[in-house]
Amino acid sequence: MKNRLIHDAQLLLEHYIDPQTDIRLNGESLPLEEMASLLQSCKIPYVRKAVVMGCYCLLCLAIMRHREVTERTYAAKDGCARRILDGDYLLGIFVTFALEMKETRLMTHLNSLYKKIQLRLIQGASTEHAMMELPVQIIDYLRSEQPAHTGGNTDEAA
Amino acid sequence: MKLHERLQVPVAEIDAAMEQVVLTDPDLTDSPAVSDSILGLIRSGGKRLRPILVMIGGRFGRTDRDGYAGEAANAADAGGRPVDSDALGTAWADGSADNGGAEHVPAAQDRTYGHTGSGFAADPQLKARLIRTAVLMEYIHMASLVHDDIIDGAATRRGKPSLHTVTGVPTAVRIADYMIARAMEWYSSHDAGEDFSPAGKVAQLVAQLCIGEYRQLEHAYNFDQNFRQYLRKTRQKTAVLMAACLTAGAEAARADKETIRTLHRVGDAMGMAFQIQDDILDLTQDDRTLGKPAGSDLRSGNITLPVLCALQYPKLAADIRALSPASSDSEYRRVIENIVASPACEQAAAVRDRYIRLAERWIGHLSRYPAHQDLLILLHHLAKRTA
Repeated sequence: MKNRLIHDAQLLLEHYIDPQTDIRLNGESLPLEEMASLLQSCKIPYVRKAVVMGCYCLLCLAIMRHREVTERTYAAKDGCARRILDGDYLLGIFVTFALEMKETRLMTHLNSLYKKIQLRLIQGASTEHAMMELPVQIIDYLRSEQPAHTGGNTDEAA
Repeated sequence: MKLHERLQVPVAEIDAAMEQVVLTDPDLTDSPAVSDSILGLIRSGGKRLRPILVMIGGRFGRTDRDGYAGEAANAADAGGRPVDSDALGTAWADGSADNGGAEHVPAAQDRTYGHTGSGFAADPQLKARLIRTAVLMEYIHMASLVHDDIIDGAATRRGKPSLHTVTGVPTAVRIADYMIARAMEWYSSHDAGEDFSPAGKVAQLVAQLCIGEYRQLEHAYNFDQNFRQYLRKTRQKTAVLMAACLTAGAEAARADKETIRTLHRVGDAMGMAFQIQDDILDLTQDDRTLGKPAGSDLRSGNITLPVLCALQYPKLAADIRALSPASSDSEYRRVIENIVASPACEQAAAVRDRYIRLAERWIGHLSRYPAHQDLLILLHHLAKRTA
């Protein structure tokens, strides 16, 4: 079930990624399993789980791409430009995707979390440490929403 | 008189709001180095072109300061046939430049220039909304410049060390990431409950600007690219953002759809003219005026319009095609001098002038608004600037 959610989220995103970018979501080793597990226990419709998973996937990949921009890759001109562009592009797609999926509030919340992660990274935290709480923070946010924004656990309907 | 003074755009207020974006971030208390870096970027100045475009776009609302009802007058507007503005560039390339695209362009109305004033006194809410939009756009632009400097390996910007040379590359990348996220957070905190479409459009813009940059990377040192490819890249790199700034201002002022569409066309043509002028200046100005080495586009393999024009001359083309990332500074300087001495820059200027005329003609469609004169002032200032 976890893998299915990740797969479905990536399918949703495929339509948003321009082929010119050469970004392939399913070819990346991203830390998605914890988020997928937590989402499974969340009482929201399956389609929304896939959208949240998609947003998380885009943010993770944006952060990972920019992590690969180091003094070494810069000095060696080793794909530095492409990594910067990938990160910027993925952040733009995250906002576009979230707004198109009518997830304005989720997008603004995730944007704030993303900002805080950047500050932790600037202060010297490792990427893993800076992002450690992100899945739980997303779930906390989903649970704190007004009832109107949630639905039953409708995995069966998917 | 500076451009923003001539146009009565409150740049000092916009700068103050830009500083507030970082100064009011409760999460930034432990990171004075971040706020200092961003305040340094803001205080280093810049043309503030994007904010100016937003504020001017805001003068085309449904009811302007003279009580004009734009929608009603729009219904009476005869309109004009659509223009493929790329035809202006490609017409030059295929030898039909004398009438390239012009016959498809609606006739301009003859108007004299003159500033029309800010006109915000009657609507402080509109002014506040426009300033927020202007700040959002300028933050996106500033962040993209930080990343551009890393991509281009530019050690200076406006004659000062670029951010990554001060903070290191990874930190500069993240400061720019922070700037985009914080600007959106700040914008949404002020517009809670309102339409969030400007942020969505900004996001689409970021993605679109990236596609322009991917294209530039893909075509680095590709001396066989054609005019259409150059124009497409230029549109995605520059013109879309300028058009978006004008229309974002107009949307904030609740302008009617036809006016917004026309402003988009004005911004697109203005952006193309602006970028071509930028390309010309990159070759013709000295290092000190530019604040970076002359010909830095060519040095990074970015083939601009004057270089495309120069490639038509066999002797010059051979020298240009011999350039590579491994070429020496003196080799680049010699080729740049030869391009400047050739008719290439004049030919590029002729294409720029066609975009200026196209923009003028679309501005003519907005002549019922007093602010159309502001667009003319801005257009001529940007497209004929010398620095």
